[in-house]
Amino acid sequence: MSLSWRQCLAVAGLAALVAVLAYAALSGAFQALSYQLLSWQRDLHRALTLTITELSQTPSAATWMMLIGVSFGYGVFHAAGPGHGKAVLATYLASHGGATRRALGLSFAASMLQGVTAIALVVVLVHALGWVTRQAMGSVTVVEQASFLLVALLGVWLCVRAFKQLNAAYRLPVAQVRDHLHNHEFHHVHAHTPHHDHQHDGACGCGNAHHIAPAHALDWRTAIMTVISIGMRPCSGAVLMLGAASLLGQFMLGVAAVVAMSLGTGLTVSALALATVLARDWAKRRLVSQRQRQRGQKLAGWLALTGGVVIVALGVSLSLTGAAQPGGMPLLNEPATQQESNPLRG
Amino acid sequence: MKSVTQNARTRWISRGLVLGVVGMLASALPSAALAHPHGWIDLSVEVITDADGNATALHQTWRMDPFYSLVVLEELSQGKEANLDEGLDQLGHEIRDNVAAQHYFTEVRLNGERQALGEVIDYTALARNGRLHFMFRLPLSEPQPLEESELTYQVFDPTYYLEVVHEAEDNNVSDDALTLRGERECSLSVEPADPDPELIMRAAMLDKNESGETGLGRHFAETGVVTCR
Repeated sequence: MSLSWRQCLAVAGLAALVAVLAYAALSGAFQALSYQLLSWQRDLHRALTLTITELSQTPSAATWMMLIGVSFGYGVFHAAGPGHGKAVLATYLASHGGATRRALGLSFAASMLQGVTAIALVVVLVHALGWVTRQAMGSVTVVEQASFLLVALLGVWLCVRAFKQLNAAYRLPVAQVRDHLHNHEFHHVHAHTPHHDHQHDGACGCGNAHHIAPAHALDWRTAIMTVISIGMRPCSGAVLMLGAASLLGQFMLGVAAVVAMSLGTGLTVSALALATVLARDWAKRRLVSQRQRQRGQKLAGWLALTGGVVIVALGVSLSLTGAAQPGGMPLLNEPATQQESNPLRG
Repeated sequence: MKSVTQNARTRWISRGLVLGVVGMLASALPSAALAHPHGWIDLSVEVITDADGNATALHQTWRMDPFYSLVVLEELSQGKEANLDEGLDQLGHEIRDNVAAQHYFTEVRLNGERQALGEVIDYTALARNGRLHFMFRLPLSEPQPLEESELTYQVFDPTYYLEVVHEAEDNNVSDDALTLRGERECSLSVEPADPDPELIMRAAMLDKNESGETGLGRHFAETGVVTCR
């Protein structure tokens, strides 16, 4: 266990490093960029509103194209800012790995789900249940809270998995680890029969491949949880847009715009996901070159645990901070729920 | 021995790299407050003066953006109020009460000195060409002499969820966006916002509960300037 205090030291050192990096990133070149993004978002949002209004009055193919273009651009820049979904995704990918294709899949799935959630909210609440748009916007806060809790749950789940992984990595004697990287239950069963061990070793040729498998396999449950916890949170702006488009009798316009927006968001998020995966792979290559696989296994476990803890912290702090976006219309009272006698005034 | 140090170093590098990326993203989180506007208000202001030429009030008209208007007006048409006018009255009360808590989004300065404002008593909400208008008279607590003075004001939503801009056509501020009622001869202009990226970042990083001279919206606020001889 002499490793553990070194690990602690390493983690403490890294915390400092992260703080410095974050400070540099946020106070430096990002400033100008963020400002630029903000002004583009502002212009695109206005263009979007005006284009939909125009389309509802005088539809034309050119305006349609413009709407799709503007929505896509809006999605790209909307996602370029910071957001909890991206933080969760990047933390997950950095600490738990996953191939390039999976990173792309997760990014696009989460982005599309975000759009689909907004559409579903409007279809169910406004079209089916007859709520007014303001109430549907108010429901965004509830859905948002649920997604924050899901983030925390995801983190807990990742921590549990990391614990199992670490447990396995530390229980195996070093000599055997080098040749078999089975989970510890397996090892335990065969502990008294080294002969079996030997046979098994020959049979499945456990080596490099297996060393990657338990730590890095992106099992579908985790993938789905990640996608849902990120994608379940719709933007109240999208709900407002869909509601307004419905009122103009142009719901499909709104849907088209939201889908284009989600694709734009997916583009940005997947770029970020790719960067994360590349960074991780680079680090992994450096490790493998040291031919210290049991260390690699332990490192992967610690990394997974750190990632899990960061995600739990994200989820909890988001839940405690509460809504990140106003529920309902600015300037007006919080929308009352449908059950109350007067749904208009809070 | 060499390989051990090298290994340790590699571990540090790799872990630092990965966690650096993570930390960067995670720490960007507080600036989720870096919201961009999801709606806007077209603003026009009339500076009111009394018989002595003192500024007494700002008469403001807020023209809400098409989507906001659409959604709010739809709600009124479904409401229990007997007619639209009654609904609009209710809406006016509601908006007035909510903006009162935020000082009517308005800051007024005379020769650079912040002026105290009174409460809004005269206000009305109406629908015109599918846009919701909210009009109100915001009095200064004391009439202020404008002679050889410069009166400036800014109207903004601190959270920047709504953007407040003077009425404009093709990026040129309309003539009626800022007017003066009264005898006094003054020059009127609307200065565009000139945001400092550093201040914006600082504002965005602040917790939303922190008060003071903060808020993202401030940095994007246009300034109305009334200069009198």
